Amino acid sequence: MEDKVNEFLDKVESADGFVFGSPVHFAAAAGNMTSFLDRVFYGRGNLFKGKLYSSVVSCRRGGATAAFDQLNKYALISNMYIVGSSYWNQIHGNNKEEAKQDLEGLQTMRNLGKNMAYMLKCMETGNIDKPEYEKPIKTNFIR
Amino acid sequence: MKVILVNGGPHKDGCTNLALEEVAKVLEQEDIETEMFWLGIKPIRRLYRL
Repeated sequence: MEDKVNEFLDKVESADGFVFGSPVHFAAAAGNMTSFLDRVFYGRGNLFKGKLYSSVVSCRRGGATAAFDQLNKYALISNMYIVGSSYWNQIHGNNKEEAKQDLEGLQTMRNLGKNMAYMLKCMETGNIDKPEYEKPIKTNFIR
Repeated sequence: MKVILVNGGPHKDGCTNLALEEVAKVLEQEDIETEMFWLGIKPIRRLYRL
């Protein structure tokens, strides 16, 4: 099936970092975002190793950190480096005009951009070999 | 150096995009290339294992 997953996967190699943004629905990432990330990282998680990752959530009122935690799980199982900010990356408002009034949320996004740029530059100018990983061991919980 | 920002919201120019644009603005100022990628509103198949 041709959908946005395949279109996105073709671009992954060209990028050094990613920011995944989702609205918060029932204290979780949106359903389409979950389907998208499940498929991207289930099949092709190895494409992302050594790259930077961050996520942002947009939320009317509650559930932001639960959704934020969910989104960060993909990076933490893929040998990626998560970039943080001055607060958890969330913006509040029920529409764009309301969200523009969330000055702390917008500042959090700018600080995230600064941290991501800094880390990208460190990685580009640094002269340290990338980690080499062991052959993966898969131990299912059947004992 | 390039960063791809994925917008999983139903609106191409909604709240989620506003937050991502704020991140992208700073990245561009720091000479990092950015690309916005909107998931759109067409269905995305779920993950399944046969």
